[in-house]
This record gives sequence, structure tokens and C-alpha cells, in this order.
Amino acid sequence: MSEDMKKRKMNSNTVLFHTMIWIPLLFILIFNYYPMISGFQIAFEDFKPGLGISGSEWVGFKHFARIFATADAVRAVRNTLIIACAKIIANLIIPIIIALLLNEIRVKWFKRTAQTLIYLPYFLSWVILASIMINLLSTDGGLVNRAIEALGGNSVFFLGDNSVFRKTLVVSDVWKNFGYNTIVYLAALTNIDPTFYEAASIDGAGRWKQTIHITLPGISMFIVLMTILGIGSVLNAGFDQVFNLYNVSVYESGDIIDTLVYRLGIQQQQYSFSTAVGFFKSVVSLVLIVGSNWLADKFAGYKVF
Amino acid sequence: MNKFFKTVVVLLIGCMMLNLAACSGGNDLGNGSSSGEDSDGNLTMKIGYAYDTSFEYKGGETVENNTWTQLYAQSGIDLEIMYNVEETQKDEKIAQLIMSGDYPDFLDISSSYYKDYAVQGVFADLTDYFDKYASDLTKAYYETEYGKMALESAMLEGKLYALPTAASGNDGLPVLWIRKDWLDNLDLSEPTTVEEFVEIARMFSQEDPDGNGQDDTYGLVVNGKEVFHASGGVEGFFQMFGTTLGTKEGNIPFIEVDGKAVYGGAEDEKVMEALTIFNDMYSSGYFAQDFVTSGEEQVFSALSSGKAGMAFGAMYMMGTPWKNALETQSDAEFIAVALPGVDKDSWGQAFYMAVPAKYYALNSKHQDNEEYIKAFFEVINLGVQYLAQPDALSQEDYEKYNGKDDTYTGWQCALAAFADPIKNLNALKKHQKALETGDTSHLNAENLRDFETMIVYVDNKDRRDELDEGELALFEGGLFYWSVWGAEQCSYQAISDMIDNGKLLHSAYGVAPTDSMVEYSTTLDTLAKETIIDIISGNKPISYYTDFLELWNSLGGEVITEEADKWFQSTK
Amino acid sequence: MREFYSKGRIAFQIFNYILITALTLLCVLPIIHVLAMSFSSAAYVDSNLVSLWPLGLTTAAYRFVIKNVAFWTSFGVTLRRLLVGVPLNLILTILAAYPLSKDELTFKARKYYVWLFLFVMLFNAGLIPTYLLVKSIGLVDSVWALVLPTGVNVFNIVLMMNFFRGIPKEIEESALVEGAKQHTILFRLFLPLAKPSIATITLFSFMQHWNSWMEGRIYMNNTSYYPLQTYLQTVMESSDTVLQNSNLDAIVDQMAVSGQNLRAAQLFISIIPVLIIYPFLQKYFTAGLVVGSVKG
Repeated sequence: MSEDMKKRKMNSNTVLFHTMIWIPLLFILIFNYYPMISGFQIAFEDFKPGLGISGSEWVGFKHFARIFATADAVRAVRNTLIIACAKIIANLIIPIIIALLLNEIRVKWFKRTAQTLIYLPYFLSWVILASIMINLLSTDGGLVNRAIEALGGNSVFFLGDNSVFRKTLVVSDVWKNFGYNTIVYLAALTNIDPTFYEAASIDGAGRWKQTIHITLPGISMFIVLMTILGIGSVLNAGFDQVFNLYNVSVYESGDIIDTLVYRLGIQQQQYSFSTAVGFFKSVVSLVLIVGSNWLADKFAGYKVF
Repeated sequence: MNKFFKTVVVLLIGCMMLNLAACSGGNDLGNGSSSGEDSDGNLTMKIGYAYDTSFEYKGGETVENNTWTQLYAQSGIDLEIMYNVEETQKDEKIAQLIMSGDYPDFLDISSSYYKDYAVQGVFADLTDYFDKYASDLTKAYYETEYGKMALESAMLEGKLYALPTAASGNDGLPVLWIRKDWLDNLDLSEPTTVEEFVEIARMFSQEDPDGNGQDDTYGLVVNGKEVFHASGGVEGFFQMFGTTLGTKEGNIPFIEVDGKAVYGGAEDEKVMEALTIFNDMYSSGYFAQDFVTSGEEQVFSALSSGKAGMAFGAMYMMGTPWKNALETQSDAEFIAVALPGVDKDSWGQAFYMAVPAKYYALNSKHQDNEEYIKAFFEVINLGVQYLAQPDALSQEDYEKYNGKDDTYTGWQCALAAFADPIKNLNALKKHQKALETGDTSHLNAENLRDFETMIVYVDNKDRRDELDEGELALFEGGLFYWSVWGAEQCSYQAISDMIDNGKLLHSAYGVAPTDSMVEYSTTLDTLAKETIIDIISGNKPISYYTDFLELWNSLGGEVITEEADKWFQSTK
Repeated sequence: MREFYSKGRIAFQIFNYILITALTLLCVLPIIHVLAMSFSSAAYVDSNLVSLWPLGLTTAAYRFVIKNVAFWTSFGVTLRRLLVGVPLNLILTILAAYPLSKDELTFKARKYYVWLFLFVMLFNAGLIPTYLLVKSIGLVDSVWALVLPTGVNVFNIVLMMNFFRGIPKEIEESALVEGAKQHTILFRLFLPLAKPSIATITLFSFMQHWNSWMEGRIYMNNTSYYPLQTYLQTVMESSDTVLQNSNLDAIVDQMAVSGQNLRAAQLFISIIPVLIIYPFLQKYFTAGLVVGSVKG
């Protein structure tokens, strides 16, 4: 094709591309970008419903400062980061391991059934799950502690002891979500070219070696994608779960940004504060995602976006 | 696929464009602020409803057509429904509407939001119109002891922005619930002192009160998750010692000590005595070791399954647990007694605070429109007339506007739902008399309805297993009323005893919370909860309480105590 | 592939099967527990006596749900929401993903658009401004409020974009050489190849519309417009037994419907449609998700 023809083809394509993109773009301009204007105003004001956005008083960075000022707020940010990071890591490692294990299952019906059944917990709401967990993890006859004691150990106060509460949160979160996540990785596994495995086994590599040198690299791009997306939500440590499982005794280790904001919101209509917190979270997420995307590009050559 | 795709896209965009074109400012959306009069001369009032998921219309009535909508229409008012949401969302829905500038004409506001909104200019100033448009009945309502208190709580710097429902603190007084059958099994009598109470807790935990040969019971069930709560909350425990720590409807409690208004937990010696005993009980296993994870659901479960024998709580908490308990323990019987005291003479020191539940207000945009103001008062007057004085109504009127099974939905359809604040106390004596004499002629229509349900329980006490589903539902309702009004040691009797005994801790602050109070109450409340739980479970020493008080003061407690005392002194 | 049946291998296999069985049980038991609760009487469920088998066996909970108009109305709202929302989401995703999947030579402005979309995934203006906007457009109390504000899902776009990128360039180039226009390439070539991806996005979109309850809560002023999850949320929210207006008869009404068995039944019924669709779509969805990201 001549250069000229190519240029003309490209131009007409460009027009089409722009047109196509503008339709969804319009949606986000209207529903996402436009409200940001008022969103900004609210975060920097002392918003009162009766006064509206234009009538409320401007207070500058007062709410943002508050995020760092109150002891409660600092504790909440710390807990959020710790819990969210633990969850990201656990929700990465466990499903991969399980996917690898499932991949080794040869009996087709067993594999299919397991695959289907393990995503069931995903659909239970935390309200019901919390109720079940409070019962199971009770130090007063709960099944888990009875089992621990039968094996010679001591009762663990999973939901009331600061030293174990976060672990309880992470483990129960992994349990609830691993089915959903595992299937995603299983899919990634099935797409690896089987000839690689054949070649490797001819060369004498055992299953384990094959896993390290073929399987993991084969799904690495996907692991990177999920990690980066996970990092973007690092400040959402799971309100629903924490809210239903926590209590006064474990505020120290378990109170997260969202639960703190929720408590403050009930009494005092803390609209501006919660909006400011939301903005703060978004800015941090943005920085983290841009940063990790850049890192992934620099070191691994992967460009997710 | 090509053509279909294109058509769909075009349609969607078209819809959007059309909707965008109709976009205007925030306020005016067509039929909003027109004069609101329609052809039959009726004024149209924009209102909202908020119901619990269990609520149902009866007798073919609907949200648009029931005895109350008819009553309003007759009085010249047509209703336009702006929202009809689930009860727990009422406050946020109203907040949203206010924010958008387009909100109802007649508003039903919860007490914790009233003051804020009034200050923001959301409501019309009614001060000058009260005399003119409030009916004689309404004026009389607000001249009663409770009515006066309620009205005062709605006054902001001498101006009236809403008419609240009058409330007495009676219904909210905590009582001590006990398993009577366990007391009988162990040959014990009801406790009047803290010492007796603790001993009973010990015996319930250690002496097999249900006689099944197993160590599966404990004395008390404590709501450690919410801490301050109508079901199993710790308020009752601390009030035995003449102190009170928890917020009531979001208000920090103030009591009078030596002529001044102080925080309910300011008397550290008394509180620490309470904490010592509470902590002892915890270490001895008189209540669940994991009580901090027990919310209302777990409290009910412990009572239903016969694991726990006592609980502090509101007079209305035992209906569900008791009816559940009967399924597995046919002899289960719950009674309620007045709060024990540190010694034989100091019992019944429950904290008494009347918090009006609802504030009825008018949209401030009608400030200068006397038609709307008049209509607003009309709604109020009708509410008072048909709901606040049941004794004065004919049977027919009572049923039409208060409710009758299968025919009329009743009071829940009313926009302004008033009630006689001490009707439940009055009902106690009436029900007891009717049970004793069998004569029901002195019962008003409401009492009669409740009584007849209670009788279903009384008559079928021993044949519960033979009842079908429908009868069982009535039986369980009857059991509830029995627990409140019927039994010799019913919960309202306990309340009545405490009132008569005259040792109640009265709230020393009686008007709408100040700005500082609103700002600090959540933090202070959380602090109190954390401290109590920590000390009870032994994570912190009893002496930490003095540190707590210092912290409490520095985090705004001192400021609000001053404000409360200022008001308190002004009423003397 | 020839397996090497060493002792180690067999031991591993046994261990693996046991482990997977245990895990599967761990996931299934809670559902069975909920099922058991739904068929038990309120008294037993509330007393915490039901484990894996119903006690006081009764269909009362299910009969209550079936009679409960509010439940079915909200179910209907969600169905309507799915009918409009899923196709809309799919269309918008394709419209964005296709141009974005082109490299910068073909489509220079690409990188600006990509960040415009990405930014939105992280930055949310908050509930109040979005509500005010939706209200001023007049979408409140209509199905559109549940469907338009979330019409564009950036995660889905990223997925599909990566999938399109994975389609070999030669296919497009040879089509161009033969004089095909872009829209022909899209419809006749790419989309048919993208069937797995479409199925994936459909499933994700379905799940998102099925599960979300926030929009219903904010944008609907009437319970009859609540979608299913919003309705369930209100049922599940810890409703503290509070006395309103000194009226005890309201508590009697509440007693009749507060049993945890009802909650269990409602939850179970709301899971059923998803339990049916999920395994069915699973086979498509696995292939689609993968090709998109592995080929970068």
C-alpha cells in the first residue's frame, strides 16, 4: 500500500475511532467527571444539606488535616494499610496455589465439581457470615476452639483479641473469595501451550520443575495485572466484613478508615469529612497504580494499560 | 448485528439527550412549587413515608387510600408522596432531598437531626402561628408535663421550628429480667441488692438451675458488641450504682450531683465499685467470656436457648426470646424486677430521660404562605385528636384511626403520630385489673385489643403444642403482652415500682443538644465503650477509669458539661 | 504425556485429592447450614441450635418469602435492570475497547483517552454529587438510574482491550489490504473472534448488576423501585428492636418477621439464579479472560 493511501486509510479510521470512543466517553464525562466539581467543593467545605453546596462554609484543608490529626484516624489508616496489604498478598498466593493443585487433578468430574463448589462462599453476605463466624469462633463452645482444645491447644479469642483479629479477617476474606479468584487463575493455566510441557517432560523435567519454569512464567502477566489492580484498592480494606465482625475490643487492630467514617457519619452528618476521606483514598490509589504500572513496565516489560 | 447495534446506540443516546434537555436547576421540577391547589380546592402537600419491612396495609387499604388519607382530604389536604422507603433509610433519604433543594412540605425528623436542620433554615418558623392555628386539644397536649418538656426541646432561642411528639422516659427505663423457673428450681427469691444479684448470677452459672445435669448455663448475658443497648446493654448494671455512662439516643447523659449537672459517669468511686464487681463476675465466668462479640442477635440466642438466666434491658425486649425458649424448654418463664441497689434502700435508680422521638416540621419555603401553615397545623391537630387521647374516642373512631385487624391499618398511616406519653403505664393497671376481675369494661379500645391478644396466651398456656401456625402467632403476641403487662412480675410492674419508689436518676439536661455536644458525643461515647469493655475483661485495671475521665474531659467532655450545667442552673 | 508414577507422585496425588475435598467441603458446609436454617422454625434458628440439619422442619420461611410482594417486586426490578444494563454495558465496552486496542501509530490520541478512562476507575466524586446530578437529570425512581451512571465499566474495557490486542495483527492487515472498512473488520472479524471475551464481560456485568445495592438505595425514593439486593440489605440490616411512639403492637408485628430463618430463605432464593448461570457461563469465561492478558 502506498504511503498516501495508508495515510488516508488512517485518517478515516481515526475519525471512526474518535466517534466510537466518544460515546462511552460522554457517559463518564457526565456521570463521573462532572460530579467531581461538586465533589471537590464538598470536600473543602463544611457541607450542610440545608445550605447546599453554594451556601456551605469553605474550610479549606480542615477535613484532610483531620485524617492525620485524630489518634483514631491515624490508627484507622494504619490498620487499613496493614489489612489491605495482607489481603492482597493472601488473595494472590492462595488462589494460585489452589489453581495449581486443581490443575493436577486428573479426574475430570472431580475437578469440575470442585471448581463449581468452591465459589459458593462468594455469594454469602457478610451479615450472615459474621453471624456464623461469631458462633463458630466462640470461646464458649464454638467448634473451632473445641477442636483446638481437643488437640491440646488453648482457646483463641479470634474476634476479640487484637493479636489475632487481623489474621481472622484475612483468612475469612481469603476463604470467601478464593473460589472466585482460583477459577480466574485456572483459566490462565489452561491457556498455556501444552507443547511446552511435552518438551519439558521429554527433557526429563519433573512436575515440580515444570511448574516453576513453565506454568508460573506462563501466568505471570496475569499475576501482574491482578496485583496492580489490587494495589489500586489498597485503601478499601473491606468495610462490609469489618463492620459486621468487629467490636469495641478490636478497634485497635481492626478499625479501618471506612468503619471510622461510618461511625462518625451516623451522629453528625459528616458529609464533607467522608468525601474528603474518599478523595484522599483515590489520590493514594492513583499514585500507587501509576507507580506500579511504571515499575512493571520498567522491570518486566509489561504494560497493563 | 450491525443494524441492531446502531439502532440501539442511537436510541440510547436519544433518551439521554432528551433527559438532559429537561435538566434545570435543583429546585424546580415541574409540579414542585406551584400554588399546589387543584380543582377541588384542596391543597397538595408533599410528604414521605418510612415503614419497617414488616409493615402491611390491612383491609384493602393502600398507601394512597386509607382512613387517614381520607381524613386529610376531608380537611382539605391532598397528599403527594415524595418518598416511601424502608424505615432505617428515612434519615438519609430526607437528607438527600434537603440537599437537592426539593424536599417535602411536611417533614418527620428524628430528634438527632432536628437542631442542625433548624439552624440551616430548613424549617419554617412557627412561633407566631401556634396560638392561632393549634387546636385546643393540641394546646392541652403541649401543656401537660411531658408536652411542655417536648415543646421546650424544640425551642431554639425562643423560636419554634417544629412540633415534637411528647415522650416520657418510662418506656426506656431498663429493668432486670430473670428466669423465674430457675429461681424456683434453686429456691431463690428475687434480688433487691447488688450482692443478691451477684449471688444469683453465681448460682445460675454453677448450680445447674435448669436441672439437666450439665454445666451449660451462666448467670447473665451481656451485650458487649453495642455495649449500650435496649437488649442486654450494660446501662442497667451501672445504674444499680447510681451512675450512668451510655448515650441515650445519641445524647451524653447528665445527672445532678450536689446541685450541679455532671456527666453520668463522673462519680468515679461509684463507677469503679461497679467495674470491680463487673470484672469479678467476668473472671468468675458468670457471663460469657466472649461477650464482646454478642450483639442483640447473640443476646436473644442465649436467652432463647436457655444458656443465660438474666439480662438487663428494656421492658419490651423479652417477647422474641421467651417465645423461642418455649420451643425447647416448656417451663421457661421470664419475670422482670426493678434494678437492685447497692444496699436495701437504694434500689430502682434507673436513668430517666425523655427524648421526643419525632419532630414534625414545615418546609421553610412556605414561611409566608398561611395556607400551608394552616394545613400543617391541621395535620398536627388531627393527629392529636385521634391518636393522643384514646379514652375520648368512640369505639368506631378509635378503630378507624388507630387500627383494627383486617379492616383498618390505623395509626401508622398518620403523618403526625401522637400518643399519650404515659399510656403504657396506665395500661398496666388496667390490664392487671381486667385479668383479676375478668371485667373488661374499663378498657379503652386500644387496651381491649391488646388484652384480647394476651388472653390467647393465658388460655392456651398449657396447650402450646396443639396450636396451628396462625394461633401460635397470636399466642406469641399474647406472650409478649403478658411479659410486659400481664404477669405479676411483668416488666411494666417493675417500671411502676421504680417510679413509685422515687429514686430515679433524672436527666439534668432537657433540651436539644448543643453544637459541641453533637460534635463530641460520638468520640466520647466510643471512648466510654472501649474503656468499659477493657476494664470489665481485665485488659485494663480498674484504676484506669480515672485516666478515662481525664481523657473524657479533655476531648470535649468538660466543655459540654459546662454547657449542660448552665442550662440546668437556669431551670432552677 | 507420560506420567511418572513414583511413590512421591502417588503420595502427592492422595494428599491433593484429600486437600481439595476438604476445601470443597469447607465451602459447601456454610451453604448447607443456610439451607438448613431456611427450613427450620424461627425458635430453633434464633436459639442457634441448627447446624446442618433443619430442626422444627417447616416451609414457613419460604412461604413467607413467596407471599412477600416486596421481595418479588424487587426481583422484577433487578430483572429489568439486567435486561437494559447488561447489553448497554457490553456495547459501551466494545465501543471503547476497540479503538483503545489499536496501537499509537494507528490511533494517536489513544493514550490520552486511556488515562481519561483509567482516572475514573480510581477517582470517585462521592455519593452526594452523583446523586444531585442524577436527580437534576430526572432519572430518580427510574431503571435508568440503575443503569446509566454505571454504564461504563473501566475494568471490563481494560479486559476487552487486552483481548483485542491479542488478536494477531495479520488478520487486520490482510483485511485492510483487501479494502475492508474498519467497521467491517470489527463486526465480521474481531467480534466473532471475541465471543469468549463477550461472554466474560456479560458475566461480569451480570454479576455487578445482580449484586450491587448502592444505586437502588440512593436513587430510588420508593421501596417498590428497589432492586433485589437493596431490598435484601434493608432486611438484613441489624434492625434494633426500638420502640416507636410508645406503641407496643408494632413490636408484635416485628416479632412475626424477625426470625433468622426468613433471612436465610431470602438469601438462598436470591442466590439460585446466579448458581444456575455461573457454571453455565464458566466455560466461555475462562478462555476469554485469559487470552486478553497473557498475550499482553
